[in-house]
Amino acid sequence: MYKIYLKQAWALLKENRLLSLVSILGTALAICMIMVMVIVFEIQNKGFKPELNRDRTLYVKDVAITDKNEEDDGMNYSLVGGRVAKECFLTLKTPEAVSMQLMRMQTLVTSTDQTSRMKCDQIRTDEGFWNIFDFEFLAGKPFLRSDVESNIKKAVISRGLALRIFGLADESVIGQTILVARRPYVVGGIVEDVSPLASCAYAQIWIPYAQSEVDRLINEDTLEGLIGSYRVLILARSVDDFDQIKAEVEQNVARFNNSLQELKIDLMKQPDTQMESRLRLWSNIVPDVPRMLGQYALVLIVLLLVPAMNLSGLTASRMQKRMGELGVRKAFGANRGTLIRQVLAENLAVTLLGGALGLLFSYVAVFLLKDWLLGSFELASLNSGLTLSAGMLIRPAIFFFAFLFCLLLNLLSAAIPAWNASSGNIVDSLNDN
Amino acid sequence: MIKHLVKIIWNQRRRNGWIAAEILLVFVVLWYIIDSLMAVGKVFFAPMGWDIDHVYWISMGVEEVDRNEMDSTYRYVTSGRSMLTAIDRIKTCPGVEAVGVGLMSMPYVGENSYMLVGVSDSVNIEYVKLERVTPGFMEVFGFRPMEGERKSWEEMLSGNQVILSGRSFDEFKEKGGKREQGVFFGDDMRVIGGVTASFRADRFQRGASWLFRRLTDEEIAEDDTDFHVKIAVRVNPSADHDFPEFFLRQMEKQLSIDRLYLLDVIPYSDLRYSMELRNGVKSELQNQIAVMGFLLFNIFLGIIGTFWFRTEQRKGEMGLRIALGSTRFGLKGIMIAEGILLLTLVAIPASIICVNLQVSEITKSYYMDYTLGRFLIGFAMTYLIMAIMVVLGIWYPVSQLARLEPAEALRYE
Repeated sequence: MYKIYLKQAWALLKENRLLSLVSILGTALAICMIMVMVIVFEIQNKGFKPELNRDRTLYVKDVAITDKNEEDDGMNYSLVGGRVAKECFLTLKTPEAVSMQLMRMQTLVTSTDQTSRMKCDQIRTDEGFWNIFDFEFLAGKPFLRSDVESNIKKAVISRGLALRIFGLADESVIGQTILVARRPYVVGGIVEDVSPLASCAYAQIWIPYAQSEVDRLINEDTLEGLIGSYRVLILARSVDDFDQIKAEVEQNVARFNNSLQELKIDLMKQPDTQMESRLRLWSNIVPDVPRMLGQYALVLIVLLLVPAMNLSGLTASRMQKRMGELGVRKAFGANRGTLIRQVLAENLAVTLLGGALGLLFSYVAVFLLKDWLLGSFELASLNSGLTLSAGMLIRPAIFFFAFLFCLLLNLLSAAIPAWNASSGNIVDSLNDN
Repeated sequence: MIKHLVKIIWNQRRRNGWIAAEILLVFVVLWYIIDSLMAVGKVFFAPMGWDIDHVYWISMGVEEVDRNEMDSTYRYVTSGRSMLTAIDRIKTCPGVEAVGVGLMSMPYVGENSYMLVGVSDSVNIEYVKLERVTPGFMEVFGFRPMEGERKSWEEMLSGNQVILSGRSFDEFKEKGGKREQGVFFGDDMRVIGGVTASFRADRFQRGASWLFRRLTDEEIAEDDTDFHVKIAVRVNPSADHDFPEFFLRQMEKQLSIDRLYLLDVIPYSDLRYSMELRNGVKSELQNQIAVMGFLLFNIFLGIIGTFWFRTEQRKGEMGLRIALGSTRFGLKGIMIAEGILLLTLVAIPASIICVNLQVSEITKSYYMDYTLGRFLIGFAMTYLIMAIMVVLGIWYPVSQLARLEPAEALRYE
């Protein structure tokens, strides 16, 4: 049955070359715009290497510090201080891994003889970092707890950095020395280059933070050692553990606050999930994920409905030609439902062709316009340009949504013309031939 | 002729109603976007009054000191003191025309400080952006003195004197300030050593209220903070080929002074690009352009769909017209005229809506004043773009229709 529809659909397409072409292109552009939004959403919120586990990671990046006695209204905001991170988060028992990392900064890496140099983006972190993210090690291994605790100057570098300094990115580089901001470090591992779109994991060189940075002096200037520039990452064993982890964090914070003299901290509803963390632009404004998703869905609906309505004119034109045939079918007893189903099925051929083309266009558009679609001030100040990996773009979810939107577009754009076409009086339809 | 066309449009009012409603909506939104682009564009492309062509930021790094690793012979030197030596050496680099130094004052770096200034200690003017800079800074960024100013930048900044930007000087005079009496700044009255020609703070601002005061060598030497003193150079255009690599090769060793070292050489255009991303107007405009593209695409699709359907339906009528002597061209003309007339009819309610939007100040107010000229130009451009969409949208269906043979067409009738 459907084979006949397909054959007819193909014949219909060939008969009206120009009209079919315009319909297919129109559908393609509509699907392209929708899929660009879907692809950008996936890249910003879903996981890909090395940030593969975004869906079960929690983030803490801002802390509010206030006076214990409620009289003083002053509020200080800071990134997570070393002391806070150590006492509230590194002690958690429920998660699979916890890590703290210093704000990314730019530094100079040179060879020991100063013949080669590269300005790099640097992250200072601990051994937990490597358990949270899924880096691809080309050689060597990540640093260990013992390296971090004993202040051993070991570095993990990216392939690009290794190539620039040594000309090679393999085993032979491990154990060699480089100068990082003029201090000697030993190369402990080399990883595949990371795209800046992996906003937490990205860097070109990773080194352990110094213990002296973590254990700040405790005095009035440092607000009892509470201020600092760390971000905390928590990897849960599964999403179901989130509530348990948040409860444990609350307990730790309460205990910590008791131990402080005059101040207390407030995490403002953190730890955040990936989406919440992305939305938290101002420390004190709790992100509203349902609202964001609602706005997003609204945009998608508009992107679907408006072209669908405009495409219906073209669909109706194609239907016009078939009036006679539909009349004959009616005379032979086809009911309205059958006729509509036929119209929808034949229109599907156009929509699927247009949809496939549209998906292709959307990949091209994301590639060409990545700085606008995915860029931001933070990303623009980095040392690497934005790169897109296959893992970000070739995802089952994207194909699923492309197909889903094709079906919806087909339904919306062909429904009214199909209804009109099948409602005509039999005699009129036959006469039209 | 027009009456004839209006009758045709009225006859098909049901179908026309939908497309007319869509044209109306798109018209108004398009006008809003074009108005916004026009207003911001006018400000964006206006002359700045200073420029960053051939200007580079010499980014310096400071080695951290681990006191535990220091022996008793270690002499701690502030980064600022090393900077003074670095500045002198940078001046000797071939190709460098001018060297400017500033503290919390460099453009497009995100470090700003503001001070309240006044006509006297009781009459305030407003907050001005404070620029603590060397005279070289003025040369590097190409600031120009106001008409009639005779002194050099060096002279204008000497001692405790300050330079006012064109606009802050105007505001100063408006509030009753007299140049001879000086301006109240900090804790005392300062002599106004000079005034610059008017300039704008960045490409999205219409003016700038800045105040320049001298950054002395002593102040540079004292600096040992995270917000280091920063250096910018202006390079001779003839020497500006791969200048960063050249400077690195030439100067890296010389600029390795105590804890100070050369990190990178960055063209100012890169810094401006990042900073403009931060202020958000650019991305707002890009989104508006995307919406505009979406709307135009849909209007085109809607028109082409409607008129294709219509030409199919009216094949008989077209055949009759040809048989009665209408040329192919005349046929196309009628359809297109119908479309344009529809657009024009819709433009009337659209103009009423748009006038109301401008009068209630919903459109952007900062960049351009609300004038009749602004409305007319914006409206005309919107009408023109819509007309092009309409004509293009009708062209395709009609062109295939015009290949009809009269006998064939009449058979449809």
